[in-house]
Amino acid sequence: MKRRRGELSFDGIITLAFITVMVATGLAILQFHLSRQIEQRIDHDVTLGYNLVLQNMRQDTRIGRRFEMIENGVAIIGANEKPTAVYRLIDKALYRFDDSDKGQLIINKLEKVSFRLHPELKNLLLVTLLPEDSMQLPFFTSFALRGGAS
Amino acid sequence: MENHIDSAAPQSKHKQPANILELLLALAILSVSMYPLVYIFRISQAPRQKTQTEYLATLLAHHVIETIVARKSVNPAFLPFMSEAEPVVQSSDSVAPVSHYFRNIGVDGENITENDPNQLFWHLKQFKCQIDTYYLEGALYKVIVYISYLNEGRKMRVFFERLLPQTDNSDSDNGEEF
Repeated sequence: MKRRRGELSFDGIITLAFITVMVATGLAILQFHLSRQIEQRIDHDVTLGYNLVLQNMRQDTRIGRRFEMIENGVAIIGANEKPTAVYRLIDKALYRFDDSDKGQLIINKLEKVSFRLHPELKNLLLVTLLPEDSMQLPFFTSFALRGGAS
Repeated sequence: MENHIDSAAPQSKHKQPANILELLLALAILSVSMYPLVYIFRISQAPRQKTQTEYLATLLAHHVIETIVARKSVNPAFLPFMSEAEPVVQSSDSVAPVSHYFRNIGVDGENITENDPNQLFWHLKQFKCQIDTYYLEGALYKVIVYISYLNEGRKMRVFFERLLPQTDNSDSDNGEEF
């Protein structure tokens, strides 16, 4: 007569549960670590880089008072005529520089970047980003200066 | 021998329900302990990606809202007017006027056409821009920007809303101007 009942002891079950939790913890930490690696995410999906452009430029134009066109980029000038942030295309990658002069990679693998002022509105910046891969989505939108007003 | 059999039988009867309870208990502990891990996994994952067309429509709606904000900043009395769904690029196969918010924004200062050096024309050709406006109580003005496109024959729309203050404009005949 077969008696399979009770083959796995309570200690065994707890041990298995512990091992499962440990493996799941490891996977969760790995996933969290990967999600923090921006460059890898940008390579995976171009819209993640575009979201970074949106977030950073919206934040900078909220306190910016004036745009200043520079070589291969644009500077957002804030109070006291000090640049709040400078966006510059370097080696087909868009970097953001702030007061600390520490460049932050926003998005790479770009074919072309265009920063232009609206023909009528000097407080509106038109931004166009073209990715290297022409099959990928281009980025086109605008950012208005708030100058700390709203 | 008899004693051995008699003592084993009741032990087996007691062990069976105990094992099931222990198993359920272990599963319950495992489920509870897994919840924070599943939560960490979820928040660390990238958000659900929209389709590329929907994403670009969102960027265009953002452009329109920012244009309105910029105009309102220059002229506090400015309030945008309603418009039908209008194309955002100048196409040779359409006589419909380009939406006001997309006029003269090409590199050459003209509408975006097929010859646009930024190669935006074919990406933007499918979109139309419509503006709805409402006067609200409390001297507020509501603007809804719709960017529409076709997806497998179905009309899709992305919309952004913005509330604007109605500034008293005694110098102007009406509150709507461009």
